[in-house]
Amino acid sequence: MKRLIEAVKVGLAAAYIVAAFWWSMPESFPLRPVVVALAERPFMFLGLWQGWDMFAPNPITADAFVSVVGTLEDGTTVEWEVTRMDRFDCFTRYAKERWRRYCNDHLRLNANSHLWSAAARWFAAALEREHGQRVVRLVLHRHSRPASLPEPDGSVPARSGWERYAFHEELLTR
Amino acid sequence: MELRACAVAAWNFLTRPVSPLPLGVYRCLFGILSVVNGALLAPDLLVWFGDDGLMPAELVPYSIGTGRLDILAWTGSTPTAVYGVFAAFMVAAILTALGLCSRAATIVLFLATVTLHHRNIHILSSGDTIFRLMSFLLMLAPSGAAFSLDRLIRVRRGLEAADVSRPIPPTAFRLIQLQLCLVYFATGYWKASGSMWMDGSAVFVVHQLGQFERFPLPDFAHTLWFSRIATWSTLAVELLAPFLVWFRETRRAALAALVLMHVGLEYAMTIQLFQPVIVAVLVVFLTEDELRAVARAIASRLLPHAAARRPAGPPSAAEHGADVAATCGHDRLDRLGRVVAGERAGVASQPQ
Repeated sequence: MKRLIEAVKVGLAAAYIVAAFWWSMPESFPLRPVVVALAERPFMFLGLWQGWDMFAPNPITADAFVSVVGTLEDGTTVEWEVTRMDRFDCFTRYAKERWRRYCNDHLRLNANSHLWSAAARWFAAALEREHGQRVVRLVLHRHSRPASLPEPDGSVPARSGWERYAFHEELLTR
Repeated sequence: MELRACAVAAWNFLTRPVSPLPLGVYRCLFGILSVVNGALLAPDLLVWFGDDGLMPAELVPYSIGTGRLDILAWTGSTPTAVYGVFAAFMVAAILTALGLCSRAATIVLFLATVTLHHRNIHILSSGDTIFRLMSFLLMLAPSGAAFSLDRLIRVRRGLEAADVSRPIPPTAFRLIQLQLCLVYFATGYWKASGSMWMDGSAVFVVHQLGQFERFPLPDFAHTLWFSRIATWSTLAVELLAPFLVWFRETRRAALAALVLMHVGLEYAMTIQLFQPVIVAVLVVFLTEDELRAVARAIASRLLPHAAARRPAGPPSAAEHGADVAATCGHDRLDRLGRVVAGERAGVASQPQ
């Protein structure tokens, strides 16, 4: 009986490692679709899904941040650079890392457009608390600035400035 | 015949008892880091997980689908429920660090961790993935067998000898080791297909990204020659270390290279707890002798008088006892070659 229990444990352990290995490989890796299809339900339910493509296959080549521009009831506009990390001191940057993750890596992407309206309403409420006035319109902006890639001779061109693009507008009514 | 030998070696690797100490120390570090992780999360709890925050519950299926282990999906993301799950997380993390009710604590820690992660995946980083996976594997492991209040209580009650800790079944412990190797190998494999990692410019580019910057870097860190050294050595370490940690001759060098890489990343980049949480896992590749040596070194620094009163030299057989002799699960893998993950040691042997 003890042997049988051990065999089951070893079998499950082997299955876990095999599934985790194939799950972590790129889409084109041989047999990946088959193994992932078999492991998907238990892995997704238990939170065993994983991806180790940090800064890979290439690191991102542009800095980014998200800002919000709110129009107050009296017509003035206020801007909040929510995740302008390079302007924060190192302690704030550390504490606000999840904000960077949420805004810079997720919120700004079209693939996550389902997040935009809720985010706009939350940012509007935050601006209202800060300025003591109702926000009637809120626009989410993404900013990006490409990194300079080195030339073949090793020289580095100067970096360009920030580009700004409005990706969501929310009109807020009571 | 070779196939059979491999199967026997793999069986022994996954079933021969090992020392509980590396796992116990890792459990403690993991608990401490979970507490820190919770403390960093605390100020924005309702922003990330509440229905009036940035991620109302109705958006969760669009981000991660349905059919996920998520207690908040059953209770609703009311402030009370969110604070309740968070309180359970923090209590479980503290108990995990102390090794008190270890099994129950690690189960609750896993449930709370996976709930928070499934509630909002948009704030997670690779460090969080390590937290989630390791909490799952720790939950399966007898992590309170050593370096824990659980053990202290058992000793006080006369249920265990004070000088000898019992070897533990290794399966979950081995999974922790293998999972860590997988992390390094997979990330190295992904990077190896990237043009910037191959031409040596990846670190150069990353160092220009202000959003990741931690502390100011010296001028030479912004040069192409430094980038090439850092890029290619990162690639080499990530691809080779997962294999070299299993060989006695290269284990320490591989661990040192990994620690060095993470220290460099921790200085240069802000990725919250990723570096500490992955360095903590490296503890499971240390031998019991090495952990005791580290403990003695720390004690002699912090408590020099107490250390001076203790006899010098290696710990006695009574200190090590049968548990060390029984820790040699790795040596069965020698049938494959020279595979060792550290605990090969008779009572008299010391790390090489």
